[in-house]
Amino acid sequence: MQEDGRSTAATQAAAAYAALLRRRLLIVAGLGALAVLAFLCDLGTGPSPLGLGDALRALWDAGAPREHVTIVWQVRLPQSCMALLVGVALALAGAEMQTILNNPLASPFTLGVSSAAAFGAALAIVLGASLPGVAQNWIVSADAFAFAFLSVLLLQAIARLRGSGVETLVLCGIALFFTFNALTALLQFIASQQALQQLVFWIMGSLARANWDKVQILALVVVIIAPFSLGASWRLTALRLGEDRARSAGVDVVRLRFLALLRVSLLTAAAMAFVGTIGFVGLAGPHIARLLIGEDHRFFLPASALTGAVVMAVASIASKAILPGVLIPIGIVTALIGLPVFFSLIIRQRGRS
Amino acid sequence: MSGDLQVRGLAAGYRGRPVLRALTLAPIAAGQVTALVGPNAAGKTTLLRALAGLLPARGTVLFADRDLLAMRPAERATLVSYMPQSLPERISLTVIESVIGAARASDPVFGSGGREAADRAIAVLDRLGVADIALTPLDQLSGGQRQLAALAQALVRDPAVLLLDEPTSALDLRHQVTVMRMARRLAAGGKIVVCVLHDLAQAARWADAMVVLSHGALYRQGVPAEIVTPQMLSDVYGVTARVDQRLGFPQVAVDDVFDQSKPGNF
Repeated sequence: MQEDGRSTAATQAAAAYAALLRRRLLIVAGLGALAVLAFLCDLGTGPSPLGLGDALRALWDAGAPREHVTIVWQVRLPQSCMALLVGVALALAGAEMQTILNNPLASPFTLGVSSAAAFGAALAIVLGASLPGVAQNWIVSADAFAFAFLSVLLLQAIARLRGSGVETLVLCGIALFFTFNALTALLQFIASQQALQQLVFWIMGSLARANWDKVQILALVVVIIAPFSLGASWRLTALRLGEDRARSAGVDVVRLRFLALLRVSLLTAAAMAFVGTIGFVGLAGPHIARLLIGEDHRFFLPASALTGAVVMAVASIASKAILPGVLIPIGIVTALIGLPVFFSLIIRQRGRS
Repeated sequence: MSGDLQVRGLAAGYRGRPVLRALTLAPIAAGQVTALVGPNAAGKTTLLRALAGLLPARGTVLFADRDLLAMRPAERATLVSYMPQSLPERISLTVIESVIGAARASDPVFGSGGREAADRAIAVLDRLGVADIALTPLDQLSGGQRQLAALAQALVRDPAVLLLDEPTSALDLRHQVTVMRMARRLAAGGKIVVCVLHDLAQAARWADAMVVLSHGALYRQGVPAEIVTPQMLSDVYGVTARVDQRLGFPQVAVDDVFDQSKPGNF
């Protein structure tokens, strides 16, 4: 140990840390490139025989065949954009949730937000119940949004009760999950045949509902909220060191948790309102990002969001490619494709440590 | 900034379970290592957390004529640093990331100072002799290394008041000495250093002053040589013991459990 000047170990540590930062940036950039690649492949996949080259020409070239232009602009592009945005929104929400609740199983799905959205959708589909002043074709989305948002506010209220720790919050989230599932089941029980079919399809989650209005709204939500998430990076990283240490380091943990849950509720509610319940991304996106990049939230949050985008884009490709001509609901695909990948990652990690 | 830490009428505890009731201490001096000792459940950690502003508390904790309890968290963080007993499990951060994270917790993300924070983090790790594990993930460290990493997280903001909860509990003898020497060096530099120490012998060996808590109240406060007596050991810990002062600090040999009805006996 030297009083002035660094020891060899310190000099090496400084160099190694600089290299680590470069590597982390490179991984984030790589994930971004992967997301773009997956997005393009998604654009080039579909029931009509329209490959990537044709699809791109339809985007840029005014002389492209008219039906190609229609397919790409009206069907594929909004769906592909929706896939990316939903992935970003849900994975970012999951990442923040896992950190503020200090629980790797926390996600918008496991803590009942999706169930609440499904219940809202069920109210609209089965009973036609709607918020005042909502146009007919927006009722389902509006109700789903409202209930998803309300469920997180309910969690907030519980968090605000004095003395309730994060475990209470997680348990209450799980209670919400079961409550809303039961309520939705009740509505399914009394629903007409037609409404039931529509509701079941909604709950499976599908990108087929995407259109430009919905894409724009979700994009706006993501663009507005993501900078605030990133802005909380240092505080979230400090929170990983334990609540006491974060508070001792000057973080107002109650406020951080409140604002993070607010962001989570908006991101999740907006995403689920338009595509239905999609479970796996919010849980796995952050997990995969954590394995790749660690929990320095300056890198972890963008990596989670981009991983979510990649997962959703790949799931979207698979949903169109597994059975040619059939669009499998994407909620089913994310679970079927994602889970094996997820398990293998976890098992590999366990094996290493 | 320097000055004493003055604790007056401090009441703190957990919901429905008050632990400290109107605790008043003689001034805790800067430039000294003060050991907080006492049996299990005496209120040591509660006192330390209350001083750090982590518990709802009444009373005053004055430092440099200002009440720490009335400060906003970000302001208090510039003066006081608290090191909890343990780090959470399953963190995917390297040691240096965790230290930088603790240093920059209340910084804006896009602000400057990244390079400077990294330099400070490395300097602290170097002083603790663990710069070689800077890039090791926290969950791959031994218990002792984890404790040193946690200490680095507490030291990196260079606070005037350091509150350490059992900083040596997981350390082997060599690292215990490293940490206690570090504590003494920091105190010699004008800081207030308060450690909860479970090991009375260690407290007697390294601390300049001792605060003995029993049942959430002050039993006695003073220099170790006067505090560590057979009488105190029987009153507070319920053991019969001999105390040897020949090495220049009190050494304790515990002979027997004194009275089964006293708390602290199992």
